[in-house]
Amino acid sequence: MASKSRLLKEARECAKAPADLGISLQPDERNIHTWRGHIRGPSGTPFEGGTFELTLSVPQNYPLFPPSVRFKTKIFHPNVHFKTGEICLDILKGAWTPAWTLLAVCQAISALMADPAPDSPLNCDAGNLLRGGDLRGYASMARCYTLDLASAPARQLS
Amino acid sequence: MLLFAEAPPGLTLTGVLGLAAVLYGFYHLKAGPGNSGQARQRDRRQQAQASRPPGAQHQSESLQAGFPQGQLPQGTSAAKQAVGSPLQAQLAGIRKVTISAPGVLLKELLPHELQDGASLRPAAARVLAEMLHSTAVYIMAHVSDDIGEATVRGALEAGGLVGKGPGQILPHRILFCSTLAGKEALVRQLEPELHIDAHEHTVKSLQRFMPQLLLISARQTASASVAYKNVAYAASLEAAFHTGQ
Repeated sequence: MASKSRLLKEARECAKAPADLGISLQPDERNIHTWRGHIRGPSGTPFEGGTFELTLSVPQNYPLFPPSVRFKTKIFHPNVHFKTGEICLDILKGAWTPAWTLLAVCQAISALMADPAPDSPLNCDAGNLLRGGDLRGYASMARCYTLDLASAPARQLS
Repeated sequence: MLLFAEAPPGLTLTGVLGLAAVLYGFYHLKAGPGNSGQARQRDRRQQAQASRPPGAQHQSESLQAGFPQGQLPQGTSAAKQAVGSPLQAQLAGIRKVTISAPGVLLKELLPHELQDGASLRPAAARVLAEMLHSTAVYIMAHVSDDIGEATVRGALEAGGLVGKGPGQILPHRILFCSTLAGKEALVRQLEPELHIDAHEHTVKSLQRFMPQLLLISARQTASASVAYKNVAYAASLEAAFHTGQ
């Protein structure tokens, strides 16, 4: 029950989040433990111009335990599994503390998009490009997917 | 009336018998027993095979000719079987193709050669345009810097290959990288059914991961040095696809 009241509070805060944050987040109408987020591709990155959908699955013992977050929109990024959308981010694992909120998680994911960590890749090809210093190749591939798969009209962020 | 009246009885009988014979024959042909139906099916298959153009008749063979999967001879002997076969038939089952532009679509092969300019191979460009009608194509190029990128893009644009129309590639599907290993990462990420490259080293590295590869090389020695089941060889893109250009 603690998780439900906390999530309701977070939902109210998310509704008030400024539009220029580039993030929209709301719970499922029927299930407060399932949330849907949209992140606008950070400017100055190959994801610019795209809108990326996330699914957040919040456990019953939240906020003691972190939510499970996945990209629903395919993204070429070393820390995101291209096929499953799984995200490798410390705060979603061992570094989680109840001080984090779902909105803050989305902000951390947005920051990860702009600043990838190629040393522990979930996408080896993206990781290899960055570790090999081939920024041109990484940006080219990421941009291609952004335009092909993430450039649908951003209704959620309007 | 006069004709019937004057006709001899024998002739009338022949007429009736003839009609009966025709009906009997027709009945056997139309609603005959099952075994003749099977025979007809067999005949129909044979007819269909005979009426197909030579290219379509050997659709699976021509696919193998372009991109061998078994013990195919090297060089062009297999390719000759499929001369005149439509490119679309050869691409049957292939949804995604990646092409490394240097040495395949462009005359230049190495990044430093692309610094001064890029020249499109017209015959290869025609094959690409046709390929784009039915297949998702991604073009990539290993370049040194922005100048190399601009020359490659410029050559493809000048050839009318870039755009949203049929036979054109979307601009963002032309990918660039600054390392040779980077090109391999792009291909592995895209997971095409077929990758076409003029760089022998790339083909060697990718042969463990890709279902089919095509190495474009004017040097026959290249064919001898790289012998893999999933790698085909051709002197040019148009030669590989037997477009007769």
